[in-house]
Amino acid sequence: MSTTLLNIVLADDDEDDRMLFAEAIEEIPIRTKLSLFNHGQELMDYLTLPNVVLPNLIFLDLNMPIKNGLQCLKEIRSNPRLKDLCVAIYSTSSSEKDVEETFLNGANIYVNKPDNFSKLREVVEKVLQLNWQYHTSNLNKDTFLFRM
Amino acid sequence: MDFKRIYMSSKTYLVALIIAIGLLLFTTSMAYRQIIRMQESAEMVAQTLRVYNAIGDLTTHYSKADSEEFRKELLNKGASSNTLENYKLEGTTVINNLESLTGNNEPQRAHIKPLKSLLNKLYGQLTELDSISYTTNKLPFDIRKTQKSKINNTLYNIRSIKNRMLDQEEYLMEEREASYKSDKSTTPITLLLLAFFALLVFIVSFYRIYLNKLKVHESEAFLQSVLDTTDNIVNYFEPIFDPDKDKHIADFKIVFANLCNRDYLGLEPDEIMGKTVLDIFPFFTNNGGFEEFTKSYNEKEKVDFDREVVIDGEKMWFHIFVTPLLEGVLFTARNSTAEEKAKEAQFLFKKRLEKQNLELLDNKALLNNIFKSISHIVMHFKSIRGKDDAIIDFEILFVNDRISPISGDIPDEIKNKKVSEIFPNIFKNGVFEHLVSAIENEDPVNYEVPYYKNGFEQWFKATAIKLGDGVTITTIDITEDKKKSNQLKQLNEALSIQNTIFADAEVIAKTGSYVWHIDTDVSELSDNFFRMLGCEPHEFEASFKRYRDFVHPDDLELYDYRGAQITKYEKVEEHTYRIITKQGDTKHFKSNGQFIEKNGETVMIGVVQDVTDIVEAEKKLVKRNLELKRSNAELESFNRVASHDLQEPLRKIQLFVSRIEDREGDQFSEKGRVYFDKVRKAVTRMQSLITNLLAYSRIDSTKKDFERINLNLVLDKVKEDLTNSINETNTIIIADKLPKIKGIVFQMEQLFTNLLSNAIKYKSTDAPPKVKIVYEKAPESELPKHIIKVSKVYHKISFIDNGIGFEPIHATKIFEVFQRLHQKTEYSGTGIGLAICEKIVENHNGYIYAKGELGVGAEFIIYLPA
Amino acid sequence: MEVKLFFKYDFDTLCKAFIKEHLDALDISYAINSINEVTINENLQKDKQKTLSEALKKYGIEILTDQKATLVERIKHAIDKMLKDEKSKNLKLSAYLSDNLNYSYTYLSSVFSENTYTSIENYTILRKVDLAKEFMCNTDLTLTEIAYRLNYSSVAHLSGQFKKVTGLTPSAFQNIMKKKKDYNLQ
Repeated sequence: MSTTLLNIVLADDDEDDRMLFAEAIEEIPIRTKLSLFNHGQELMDYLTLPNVVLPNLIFLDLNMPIKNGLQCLKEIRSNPRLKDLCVAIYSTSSSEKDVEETFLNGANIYVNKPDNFSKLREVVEKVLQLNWQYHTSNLNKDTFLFRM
Repeated sequence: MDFKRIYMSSKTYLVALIIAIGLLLFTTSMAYRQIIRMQESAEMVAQTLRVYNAIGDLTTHYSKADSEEFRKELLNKGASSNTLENYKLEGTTVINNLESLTGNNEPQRAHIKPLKSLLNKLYGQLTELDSISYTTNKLPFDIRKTQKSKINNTLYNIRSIKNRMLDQEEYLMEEREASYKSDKSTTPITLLLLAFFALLVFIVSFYRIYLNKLKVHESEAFLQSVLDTTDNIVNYFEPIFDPDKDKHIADFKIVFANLCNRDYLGLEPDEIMGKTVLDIFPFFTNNGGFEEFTKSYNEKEKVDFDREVVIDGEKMWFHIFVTPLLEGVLFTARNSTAEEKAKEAQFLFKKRLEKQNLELLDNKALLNNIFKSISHIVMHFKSIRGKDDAIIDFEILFVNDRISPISGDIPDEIKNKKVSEIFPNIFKNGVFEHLVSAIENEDPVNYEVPYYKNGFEQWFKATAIKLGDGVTITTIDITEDKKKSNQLKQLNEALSIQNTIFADAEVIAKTGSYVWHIDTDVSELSDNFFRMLGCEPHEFEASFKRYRDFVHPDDLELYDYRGAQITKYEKVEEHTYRIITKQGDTKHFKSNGQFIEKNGETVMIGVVQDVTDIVEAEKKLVKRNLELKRSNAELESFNRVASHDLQEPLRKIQLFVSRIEDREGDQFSEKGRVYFDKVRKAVTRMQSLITNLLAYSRIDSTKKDFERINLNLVLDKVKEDLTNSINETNTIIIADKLPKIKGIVFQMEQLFTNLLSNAIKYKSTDAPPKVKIVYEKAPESELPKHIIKVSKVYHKISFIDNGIGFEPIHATKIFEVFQRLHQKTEYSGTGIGLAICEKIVENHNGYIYAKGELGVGAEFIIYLPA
Repeated sequence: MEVKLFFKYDFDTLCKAFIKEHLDALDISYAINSINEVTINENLQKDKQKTLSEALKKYGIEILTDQKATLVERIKHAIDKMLKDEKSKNLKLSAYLSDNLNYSYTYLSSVFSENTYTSIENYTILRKVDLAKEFMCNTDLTLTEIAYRLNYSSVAHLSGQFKKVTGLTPSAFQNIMKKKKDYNLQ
């Protein structure tokens, strides 16, 4: 498996979070390629590029300027080319309202931004593994729903 | 019947008579026998007496032998042989006599035999004695003496036999005397009795036979009178046989004819008796009657037939019976002319009735059509009277179809039923009394009566008229009329009340009213309208133009526009404008009006209200609302700041703290590590504070979109969420079955979470936590007075733990925000949890309080409206 | 006017039918052993294999050439079979796998971890939870029945593992899925 590269993107307006996320990814023993975006619009622009290689997994912050996470999610799910992408919400908010709303709009995984780096690493690793399993095994993508 | 009885009884008496004769014969034969027996008895007594005499003779005989004279005689010679011979003869006669008398008496005869021999001996001795005297003189005396003793001895023996015979005869005598005595006494009495009895039987029998005879006489008289008075002809005929032909009846002889012959046929019975039938009743020859008589006689059977006879030109009908009787036939003819005539009359009558019936049916149909087409309810009731002849009820004889839409009854179904069954109300609403009075006073009665059905009131006007022993009621629905008149009445009342309070109301409501005659531009303003303008009532002549002067200059344009609209299009809209009072104050008036026709002229009437206060208040309200919106927005942004913006840096601090610890942790100095730890703890605590504050502020008390919640599921969810801490502390949770309530799910989850986690958090050090959740229903009275009750019954849910508890005086304090009873270091609480609980419960219109005892446990009691 | 149609799939049948169609198109003699294993009864020509591989790739189906990757797929398939089979679900996983695949469990375990970033045990749990999810969404089975089918000792055990793996309680998951269905219908 080591030959396959996991293509991951993160859209987050917070520079620190992006940095810590990248550091966490680095520490995870899965071969990944991470692309970072400063806000939702940047991400959407990238994804809608004509010949772009679609990522295996998208991490979306909810609270972002210009275009927030929920808007991105809705756009992705309504775009025929993107709608099968795996989306993980990556947010500070732990409000049930946000969790429910994003799940309803098609998020697969909801991750609360941890307040501890090792937790962050664990969570990201778990998400990557899950995503991996969902892509390589006969797991039912309709019920691909996790909360970390 | 009577005859038969008499006959029967005379037979009885015949038997009695025969018995009586038998008895008489018996009596006679008995009497004869008795007399014979008496004779026999007398004979026997006489025989005995003869025997006595014979015995007496015997005694005299032998006694002679003993006497001296006899002896002397004997001794007298010469004469002596003669004497003895006589004596002997005498003795033989006596004995013979005795023997013949006792011929049939065996014992006496037995005595006679020795007696004979003894007498012979005596004769011998006597002879000897005689001879002695003759031969010897010498010793004559001694010999004689010896002879004499011998004779005496023989005499003695004779005497003894005689005595025995006497005894025997005495005994016989006694016996015969007794027999005779008894016969003598019983015989006459028996005879007498029997004779009397026979006589009695004869008398009674004779009396009965006499009575019978009387009755037979009576019966005969009765029969005669029957025959004389019956309206049937009764004749008795005997046949006259044809001398030429054997057994052929040529004619009948009238043997008997009753008086009726005269009445019906004009024939004198005395005259026709003895004549022949064909002479007297020639019509029987050709109408077959004669054949019937013959038949009846020959075949010995009853015959009956009808015959029409014309007498003196008058038709008569007879029903004739011919009955064989004795040597002839009994002829009975009943005059059935009247019956036949009646039959004919009845037939005619029937025909007439049928015709009448047809006419009646026509009439009935007409009447029915009338009843159907009229809008009145027509009913006819027949009186039902009680014991004292008073009317107690009615029977419904007729009702037309109009009843159906009113009471729902179908005429045919209620016909012949009692009014008390169908319309029981009439006994309560006075109608019954009206009906009774209509019948008893024979005077039509009019009345009005309400009828209630399905809660609706209907009024009926009715007229009750007596008809036969009943009453006909004609009713019409006057509900509408009644309603109208009632409405009118009420309207009048309301109007007068309104008028009186209107003036006051205007003042209080700050309203005035006006009437505006558009054509003439004359207005009438109410007193208060003037006052509202700061004027005295009727201070000026009101008109549209005059009033215009009061209108605020800025609103004049609109005022004029409205005025034009009103005059042009008769269109009125509610509008508000300002006026300036006489005193110069600005007021807001709201005006409305409508057009009405008054005395053929179109006028506008309307109301003006001083809405200055309302307008001012509205302005304030708008301002307030704006302020509220602003503060809400501020609050929202605070919420956002708290939830996101405030947490973001905090989380970063935590993240970087953990990062530093990871990377540089092992390079810290001893002091550095302690300080770093304190930083970490402070940050953690701050985060939990913010989280709780957020939760607290999120309980939006304005949101009341309650849904139905099953608290059991809520509890399950909370237990699921708390699985870790429950398992870690070995907490035991025992819960009753909880109710379903109306509320907000996540708030309930929060409430249960806080209470359960509190119980786990403040656990006692010596035992694992145990939480009992007890549910029961409680009346509103259990809640303190200051709580506004929204339900009569509340769900009472108590969370009872065995934790560290608290001092009872702190029971209210623990619900306040940031009130902690413990050192931060002891228990990790933020002091908001219970405040959140209280807010949630209050948000659900409930009530929560706590009870506790230090070291024993705490109890949190929640009341939620059921 | 739009009409929404809802489908339920039997992946086994679907995949086998799909593979069959493609193999038949290329006139290849074969036998389908399982959903992810086919025996080719002839020497497969290079160009034929390439055509097949490209045709299948469009549908996300890859022909595995790597021996170990193949083994991983076989392990996964064996686990699936075991979970779905009433008779074998009570067996010990390690014994079942080594019996079925003819490798020691240690070997299988190491190959699996090496290639999937996760252990056989973790995968099995994930698979079980996934099956539980499927039961919850597509059947009327109660949690008790699901727990029994998936060989959990109790509903609590199932709930606990479900929560641990998905971060959601079964009821929360069901709730979201139900709302999602309604939401998508709107």
